Amino acid sequence: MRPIISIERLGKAYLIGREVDRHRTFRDALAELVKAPVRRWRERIAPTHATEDAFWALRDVSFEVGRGEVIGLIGRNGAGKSTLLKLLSRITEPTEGRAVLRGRVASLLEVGTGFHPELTGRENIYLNGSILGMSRGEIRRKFDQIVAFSEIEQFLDTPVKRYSSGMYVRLAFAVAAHLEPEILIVDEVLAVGDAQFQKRCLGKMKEVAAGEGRTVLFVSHNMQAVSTLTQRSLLLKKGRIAAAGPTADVISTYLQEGGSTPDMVYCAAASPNAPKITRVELRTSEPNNVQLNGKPMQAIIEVSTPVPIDTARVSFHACNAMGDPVIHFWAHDPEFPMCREAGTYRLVCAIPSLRLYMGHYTLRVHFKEFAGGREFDMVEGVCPFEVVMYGRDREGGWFRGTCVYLEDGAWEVAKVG
Amino acid sequence: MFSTVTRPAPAPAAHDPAGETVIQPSRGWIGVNWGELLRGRELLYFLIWRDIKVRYKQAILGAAWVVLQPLFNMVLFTLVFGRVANFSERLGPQYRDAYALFVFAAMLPWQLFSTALNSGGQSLVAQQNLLTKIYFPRLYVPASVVGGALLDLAISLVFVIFLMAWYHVPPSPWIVLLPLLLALTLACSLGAAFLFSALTITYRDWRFLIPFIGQVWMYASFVAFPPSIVGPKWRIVLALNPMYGIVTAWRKLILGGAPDAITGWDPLFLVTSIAITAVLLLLGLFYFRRSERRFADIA
Repeated sequence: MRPIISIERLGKAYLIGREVDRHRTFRDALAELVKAPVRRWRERIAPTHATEDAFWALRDVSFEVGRGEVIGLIGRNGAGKSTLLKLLSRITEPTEGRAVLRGRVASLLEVGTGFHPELTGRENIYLNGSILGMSRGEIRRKFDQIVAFSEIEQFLDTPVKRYSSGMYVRLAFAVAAHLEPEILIVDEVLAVGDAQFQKRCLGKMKEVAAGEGRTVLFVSHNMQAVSTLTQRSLLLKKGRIAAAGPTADVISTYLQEGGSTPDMVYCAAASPNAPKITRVELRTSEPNNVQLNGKPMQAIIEVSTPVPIDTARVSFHACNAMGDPVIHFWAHDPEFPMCREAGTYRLVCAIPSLRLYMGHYTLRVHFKEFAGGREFDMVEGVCPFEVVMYGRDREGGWFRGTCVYLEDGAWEVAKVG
Repeated sequence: MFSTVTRPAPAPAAHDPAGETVIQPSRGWIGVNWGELLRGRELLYFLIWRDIKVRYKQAILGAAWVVLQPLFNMVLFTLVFGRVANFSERLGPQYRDAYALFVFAAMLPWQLFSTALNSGGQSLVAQQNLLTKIYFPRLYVPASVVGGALLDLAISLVFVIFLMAWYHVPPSPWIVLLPLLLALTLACSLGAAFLFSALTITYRDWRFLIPFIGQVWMYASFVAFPPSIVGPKWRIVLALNPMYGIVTAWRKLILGGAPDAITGWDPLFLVTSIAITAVLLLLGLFYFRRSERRFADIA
């Protein structure tokens, strides 16, 4: 059987420097009109000239997808994931190469594309469904299912501009979830909505892929979602395919590549006038600040002081995506000497087994004087890290927002009646 | 569109048999994919419906603005050009008092064209978020604006019938040809909407130029005053404006018995108008199709 998607050497270049493809003004175009023949003539003589200022967002990408396969696409920001999806969705045109899609395609690069704030929920279901490629009859048939999935029955005739963002997203995803294409292209849309709804979306996606034999191309930064949904993945790096194969392998390649990026380590210069936090760093179980649940983690904090401090106290919180502190660690001078004379001190906090549940977290660090209650320095939103459940299996999978913390527990079962 | 050469193109809407979509770079001029436009027509209806629904939300007078806007223009033009400049004298004793109808008959096609030029011209820029997030035939964006304006025209037409009864002006027997004239007006408006929307999204200068062009074009189409105020030497210039021929033809049909000196009617103008409309529509379509593949990148 022929693959449902065949991609051969697909590439997309954006011209930078000359900026021909950015907001052109008429004057530029007139100037271009004069210059173009000269340039074309030059290019004919020296062909390299043309590609000098081209930025290849995607290049030489070839792969095939079989019918019913669910493929994950992972990579850092700017690796070309979105460009690839845009090419396959026919939103923009490739510069070179060729892709053949053998089936009805629906793409979902954003939830609620075409939603109009002034229109009611009911009206937007029809509008959005139509934009996504459903016929009126199809929308009418699925209308009740869509409404039930979105849980907004009572607000159906309210303009969506009065919706909370959660309701808006639920309605938008509900429409999209009822598309019936043969090929579904999805970008990071699961990153929205509350935890419970995300879980239902993931469930729906799984159902779509497995039950109905649909081909899905799925982009996400959420390794957990990728590993739950897909068997095979592609890793994009600088516009090229860096790895392809079973999802587990590709994810570990992705996690291992590259060193820590600057913003994963907080650094500040010591001050001659005031005590400061000079460095905050995490040693996670995986590279790039990715931490496996249940594995050890270390936090390294450096503070400097130009004067002795009597009762110094250094503490930090791990905060969830909402900025709420979920765990707290502290070091207090009476327990061990620190900052009793001027200088720089390094504190290492070793956490034997990090039990935080999967999700994205950042650190908030305080440097205080316990006696006077004075705060010398505070940094927050630093050392972003992700806790993953990857490699830790359980039947039914893991879903975002189930809890914030996983504790060990021993179960005993006895028949008592 | 995007150079995807599509063999049975999978339209974004409708249950077409699973076709094969080939995505590859395109070169040069691209034809119009009529099959795809036809299959996706439901989306066009939805876009028109959305524009109409949204336009008068939170306006107390709501859809009444459809009539009120041209009505205000009519009153203004009748006062300024009919009374103050005294052009109503040029309509002769029989039509002198019906200056308002004389203006409104021309407002019918002009409103459609003006909306196509202004809102249609801005339409792609206004719909950037759609262009960069989903694929559908891009021609629908300006076309839906013109479609919405067509409804306004229908409502205004009812108002014109009322005015005709008020002034006791019977229509010309040729009024049966109105659908053909309407088709010509529509073609001219679509041509302008396609051309100027594609120009505006590529060169944002047109956002500032178009309102000015619209003003000049309105005067050059003699919407507010009789063509007899300029001498016959301008005939050649007027013939180049497709809207001039269209406006005179509308007046000819609505102001039934009025002499050609008043309506400005001359078959020559209609013939040149048809020819230039054809050129405008083709140019608009092909320029649009040619630049379409860049829309998502420059939006």
